[in-house]
Amino acid sequence: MQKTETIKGAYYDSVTLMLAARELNKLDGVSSSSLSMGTEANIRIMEGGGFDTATLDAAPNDLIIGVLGDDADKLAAALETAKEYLAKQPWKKDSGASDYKPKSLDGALSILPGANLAVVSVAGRYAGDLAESCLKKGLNVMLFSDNVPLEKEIELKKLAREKNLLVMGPDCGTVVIRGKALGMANVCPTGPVGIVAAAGTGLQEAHIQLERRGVGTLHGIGTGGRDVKREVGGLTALAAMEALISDDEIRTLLVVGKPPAPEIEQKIADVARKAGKPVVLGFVGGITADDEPPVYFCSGLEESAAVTAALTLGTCPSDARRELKERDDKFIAEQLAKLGSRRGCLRGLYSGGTLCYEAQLVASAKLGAIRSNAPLDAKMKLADSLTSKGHTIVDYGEDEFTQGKLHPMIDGAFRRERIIAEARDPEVSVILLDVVLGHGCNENPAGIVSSAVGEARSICGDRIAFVASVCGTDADPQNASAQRRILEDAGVVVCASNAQAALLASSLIEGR
Amino acid sequence: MSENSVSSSFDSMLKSGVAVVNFGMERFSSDLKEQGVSVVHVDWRPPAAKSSLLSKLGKLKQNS
Amino acid sequence: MPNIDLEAANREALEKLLNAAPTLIGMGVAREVVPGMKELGEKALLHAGPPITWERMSGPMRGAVMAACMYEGWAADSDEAAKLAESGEIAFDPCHHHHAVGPMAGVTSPSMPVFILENKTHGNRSYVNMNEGLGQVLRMGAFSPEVTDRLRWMEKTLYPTLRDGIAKALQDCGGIDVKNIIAQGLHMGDEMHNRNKAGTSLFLRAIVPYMIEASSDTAALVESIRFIDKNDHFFLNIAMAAAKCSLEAAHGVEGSSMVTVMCRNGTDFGIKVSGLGDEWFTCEAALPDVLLFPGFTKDDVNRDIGDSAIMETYGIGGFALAAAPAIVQFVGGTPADAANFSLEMYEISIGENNIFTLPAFNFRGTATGIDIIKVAETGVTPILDTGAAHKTAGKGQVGAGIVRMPIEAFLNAAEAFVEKYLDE
Repeated sequence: MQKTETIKGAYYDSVTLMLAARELNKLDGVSSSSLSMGTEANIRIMEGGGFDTATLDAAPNDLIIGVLGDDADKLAAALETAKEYLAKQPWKKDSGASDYKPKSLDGALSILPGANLAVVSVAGRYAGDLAESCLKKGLNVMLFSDNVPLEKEIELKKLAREKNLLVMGPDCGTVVIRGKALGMANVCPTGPVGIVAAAGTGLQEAHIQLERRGVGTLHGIGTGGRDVKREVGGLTALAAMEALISDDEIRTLLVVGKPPAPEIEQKIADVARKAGKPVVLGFVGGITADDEPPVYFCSGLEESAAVTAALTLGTCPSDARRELKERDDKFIAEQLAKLGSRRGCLRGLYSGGTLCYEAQLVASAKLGAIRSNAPLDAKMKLADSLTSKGHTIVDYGEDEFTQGKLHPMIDGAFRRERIIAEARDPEVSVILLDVVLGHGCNENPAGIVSSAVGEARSICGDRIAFVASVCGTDADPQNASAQRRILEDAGVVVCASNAQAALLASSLIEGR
Repeated sequence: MSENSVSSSFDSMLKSGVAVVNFGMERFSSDLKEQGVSVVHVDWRPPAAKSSLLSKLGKLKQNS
Repeated sequence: MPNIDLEAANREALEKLLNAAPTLIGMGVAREVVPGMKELGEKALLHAGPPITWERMSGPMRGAVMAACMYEGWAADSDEAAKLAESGEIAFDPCHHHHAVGPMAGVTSPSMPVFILENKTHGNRSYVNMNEGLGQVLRMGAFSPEVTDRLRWMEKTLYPTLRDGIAKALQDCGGIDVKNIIAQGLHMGDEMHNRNKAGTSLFLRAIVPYMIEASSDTAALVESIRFIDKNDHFFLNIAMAAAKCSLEAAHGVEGSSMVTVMCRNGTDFGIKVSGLGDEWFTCEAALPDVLLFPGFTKDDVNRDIGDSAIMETYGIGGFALAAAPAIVQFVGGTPADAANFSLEMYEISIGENNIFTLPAFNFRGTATGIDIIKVAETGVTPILDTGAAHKTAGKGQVGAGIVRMPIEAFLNAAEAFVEKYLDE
């Protein structure tokens, strides 16, 4: 069937009418449409297009709108929409400055000839070749993508070395250069510290813990998760260390992350010893050796930051460590008095991989081996990442959770579901979380967590203690203090650091 | 229009700060713009050509 | 094979292209003046795009063939014409094999008058027939009596008037400088593929005094001038031939990856490359996603057709969209989109034009010299703005808009290029 409408004396140019017809044809219920001035020729064209024009009463200066379809109501609505389209012409986009987006590296370089860094977050199977072409054009590369083959990573890093360039990654999510946040990173003041990190949230936690102690960071170089394994040989970590050691803007160097392969760890320690400036090695769960000033060995992220801060400010590192322990002891005692210890299981749900790792390390000291999808001990690997068993700490940033989904630091929905699920488990008595802020992260992670906690409370009442840490600063887009308040209002205990949170969480569980 | 190449090294980037070419997630470009960093976002799509052809073309350009 | 200097070869090809000086020097009858036409036999038809047989031709191309048969008197009606074409008696050959070009179906028959252009820098010539206008026309695949009537009028009246005028111009000042008209037109709202209004006006201005000088037949003059005046696209054919003779001068440069021919026949898309000899690289022609004229739907659209892609090969048309923002409305875009399309083309081109410039880009030269290597590496293919024909012969034009060329032909050419030039 058809519906037509004639609007007397309404003139529109043919292109506008064609564009309106195109939009109308997209409407549900419209199989074909025609908008034209009422000339004889146009009326014949309408007939050719399937319209019955016998009852049309239109002059050449009148506009005829016609729609064909099956449903009278939908056609009537379409006529109204047609008139709206002519009035508003919604296909006209805002003609404001459309920045040209080049389609190629060469195109980009013709616009920004001074470029010195390529940030690559395309699919892994293309990322390696793309990184290579960027290196060949003389750009350093931050390779955010993962699933880049090992052989390609080694090839890239050797090529970079030849050219005095650096490849940060693959799987490098966090970099800071002259205080600017690249990828998922926090906003902190600059200062005379350089960080080399084999881990994203490792860098983030160290970065913000330094800020909390009044110390700024100039550069935070990510190396990617695989760099310090034997095959890659720490190519990026070592090159980054050399650069920061010879940089006279850097007074203290901090190296953090999960433990490197033993021979790489040795190489790093050797470089540190020859540096001629203070170097703090904070491998979470790595060699706990005696300090050899100016080289210091730490086993936790906050501890590393505390020692680095002390060295930078000229205060005593041992005092810093002692103060940290005293603070934690006091805090734990207070919270135990308030909340009480309880039986049951600890469930940790993490968005940051290194934070998850550190949490397992700290918690296992009190609770014994912890199950995880990324466990410290291979024997403790969960059979099903979605099903906890006993004390369990899960990394939601691992591959099985991120296929076709955004990273949990960007989209907290998946982890949110798990919080509710864990609340339903009558064995659970403590839930431990990280809340990661900064550029590139979700705009309100605390909001998502607090809404989940609220829902969980209606299921579990006071049975579960919720413990969290906020990895962020007030200068971050999310504002750490504001995020902290949101969590506390929901009844979450917010700790000073990830290590303290893991310590508290595990301390709340009645001893074995 | 000859092919562009930049001359920088890792050290010079640490000294002068970053000027970025971004491939992939647009949010990284907007985050950098917010911080006042020079950034060009590339409207990148996977190459239509096979990687064997691309590498041969690369060699051809290198040799000449 | 010794290693080539790719950059130097491409620079040479581009320079030859930019230095060409295409000049309109005369007219003649296709049979007499188009090289190789007589040799094809008595019944020969040139067509747009890469080589194709009657069996594979699409509706508009077949319609144009039938119209040409009737115009030539080889057949009395379309049925006879179709039988003749099926019989194999007609020799079909691309215009491009004869230094010629034709828009849309591009069918050029032996009796058709053609323009003759000469590249004054390198000496080579090119040929093209006259543009019939819009509506029921041969090049859109129409074959009604109106079509053949008009073609006969063009042959009997328009042709001699123009021919004699051009001869006078040749005497007086060496002919009509076509490149100059194109350059001016680009500053007056034309991009010289879909918008040729300024170019046609400037051409008319240049040729009319000579036409009048050369003819005392007022009626013929009035008819001819009025005909050209009513046809905004009259200049397109001449501009296409100018592109053709410029690009031919740049063909055959050893080691150059520059495209010198880019065309479609309504079924296939085809290119030739400067450093790859006479080989055609083809694939299926694009299905244009254009803005449709009233009464037509997406199902009516024929695959991309015409030698007019030579304009983009020459660095104008879609490569100069920033000069004709009005065209971009055809994709519901803004002047900023026109600019962005033009900017994209620099990423697949060897260099920039020295004469064709874009006021919108501070008179930057248009992207010129399509590079198959850059197309292969970036995945970006040339964009054209073009008319779309109805897939049924005789139904004419159904719309216009912006179309992306398909990449396969470029990839095939790139494979052939490394095969020939990479020393492994």
